[in-house]
Amino acid sequence: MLSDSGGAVLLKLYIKTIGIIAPGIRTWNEAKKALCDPDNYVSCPVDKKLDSLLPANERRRATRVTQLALAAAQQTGSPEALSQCLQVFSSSNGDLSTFNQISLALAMAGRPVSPTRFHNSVHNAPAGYWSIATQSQTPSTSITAYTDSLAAGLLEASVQLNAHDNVNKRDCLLVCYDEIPPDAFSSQFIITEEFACALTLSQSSENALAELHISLGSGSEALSELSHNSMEALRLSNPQAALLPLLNIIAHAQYNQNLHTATITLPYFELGINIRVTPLQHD
Amino acid sequence: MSHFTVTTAAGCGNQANLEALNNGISGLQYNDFLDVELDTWIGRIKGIEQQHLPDTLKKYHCRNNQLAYLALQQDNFISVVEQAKKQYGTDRLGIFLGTSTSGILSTELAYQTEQFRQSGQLPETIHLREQHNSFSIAEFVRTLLQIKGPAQVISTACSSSAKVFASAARYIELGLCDAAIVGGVDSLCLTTLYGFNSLELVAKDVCRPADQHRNGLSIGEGAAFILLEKPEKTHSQQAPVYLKGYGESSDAYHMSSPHPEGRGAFQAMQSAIKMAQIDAGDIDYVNLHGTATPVNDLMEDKALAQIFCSQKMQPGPKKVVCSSTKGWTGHTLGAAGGVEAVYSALCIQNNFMPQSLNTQTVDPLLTQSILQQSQYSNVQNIASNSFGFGGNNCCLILGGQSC
Repeated sequence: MLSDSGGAVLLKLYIKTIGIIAPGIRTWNEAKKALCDPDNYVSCPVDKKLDSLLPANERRRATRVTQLALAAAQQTGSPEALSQCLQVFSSSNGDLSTFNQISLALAMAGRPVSPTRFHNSVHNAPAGYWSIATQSQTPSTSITAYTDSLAAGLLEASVQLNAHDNVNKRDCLLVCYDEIPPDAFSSQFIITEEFACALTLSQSSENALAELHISLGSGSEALSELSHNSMEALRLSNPQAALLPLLNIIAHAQYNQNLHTATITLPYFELGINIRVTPLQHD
Repeated sequence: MSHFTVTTAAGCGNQANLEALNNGISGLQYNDFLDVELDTWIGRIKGIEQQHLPDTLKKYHCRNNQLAYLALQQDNFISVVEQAKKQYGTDRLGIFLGTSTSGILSTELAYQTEQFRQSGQLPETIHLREQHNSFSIAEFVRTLLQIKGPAQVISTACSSSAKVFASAARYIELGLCDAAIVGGVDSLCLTTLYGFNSLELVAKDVCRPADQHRNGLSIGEGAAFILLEKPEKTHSQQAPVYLKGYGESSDAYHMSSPHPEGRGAFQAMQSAIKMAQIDAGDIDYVNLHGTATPVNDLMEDKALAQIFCSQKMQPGPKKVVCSSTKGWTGHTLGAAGGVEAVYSALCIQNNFMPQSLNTQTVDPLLTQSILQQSQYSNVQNIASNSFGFGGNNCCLILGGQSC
């Protein structure tokens, strides 16, 4: 922890690896291409079948939102390495599709709730499946802050990394994801595309893609946007896609060796959070 | 933990809960919740339905927020928060709450209406943001109390409101806020009653933790709120209780069943004890997760045995005094961590360790010292366990003196 001249608390950390699932984007490499050459980006719905490291029996039980989250998470490293990370999962709504199915069953005679659906209904279902898939016994935290869940997830992960009880200096895997809500809810929270993003975050700069300094904002900073229409449309399609401006800085640094520091602002209650992003040289 | 309050089926506020604990009076009752036809007992709180939220917060009206409102009005909690706001500033107070089902009951009931069956549309009285979403409870409390610092809801099933203590303590440690309101609120709904029933984890009788013939849990509801401050900053009116350590882990075993040897439970307790800088032998009492399902109570005992039997204790029995308080409250799910942290705090303040209520014959397979009668003696350190679906575990160490 350090403080800037204004006294606002800054959390310092590094991004090591990035995983992403979005329309027309299945990997970080494809995301870089889309961000740096958006004229040639083609949006198409996220694949129905996603790569999964879940064992077959668990894969059958896991819902779409779990599969989305895990498909992004598993891109960020080997299961062995990832099993040693602290885990933070963040989602605005969790699994409304499963809620919808359970509630339809509850409205039927005899109220036949499926036990699998019931255990899938908990907000930490993706985290639970992840720990089983990777055999990870590290602490795992699943959070929500509704529309501000992305910033809350990033803050929670940064805080866990830097807190004194992280005695083993573990890295932290942050997974942010949201599904398209079922029809009953679609008018109340407009999410038009599926999106999941995973970052491995570290206190160490070794092999890092970027250095981040995160602080609470003053509420006066404008939220970050993207200049290209198709990328801006993607950003607005899902609350977790608000991470795209940050990814955009890293993508351009890698594509053009443009290592300029920039600050982006994400929504977080009255304040916003500011993230100073310094891309690092990467071969 | 400079100020706290708890509301459960056993009573509204600290005094009512303490009296129920002292007198061995359970809050469980035979199921009479709505039209739920399950042969089971529940920990239902009286008076939730009569709570009317302030006019400006009508959109937040749902059972979970009504329960939160009822609980916040106990033990002068709101006035203590007002003092904290003056001391720290509204933007320096954080809110970290746990829930598993938030206000989903309202939406569940809307699905049962003829209107929904025909149109597939929810009525205008159902608000995803203000009632249904898990963050609703934090936004409701934040808006009600006019607090503007960091906020989040942790929703990791039945460990939710234990883990908020760890999260809030870290935010305070790193200076993102100066103090925090932590706790948990979970209320009865159809999903959990029928869901646990589908897993065959619900007892027909009252739940009997640690009993030889235990056959499942009683579902309850509850709310707990705690003002967490740095020890040197507190202006506590009561003898403060200190959060000395927290430990978290994942089972990596099964979505709805704990690791049979208590692997994750052991790791969480071990980390918490290490952080508290005490020996296992310094723990006077363990408030068990103790749901009264056959699997939970046995695996938790195995984890305890690993902690307490392996240590080099001085002469005397190498086991720990423990009990579950779910015989009073039922399993309050996402609120259990917060409820049982406050129960533990009350035990420390009153030098009291509650009996394992409803337990008739202690399961001979259990190795630890299950309290069959409440004990009145000095209590310095308590470990409180909370374990949830997805194999998500948390242990808190609370003490009468800081580290």
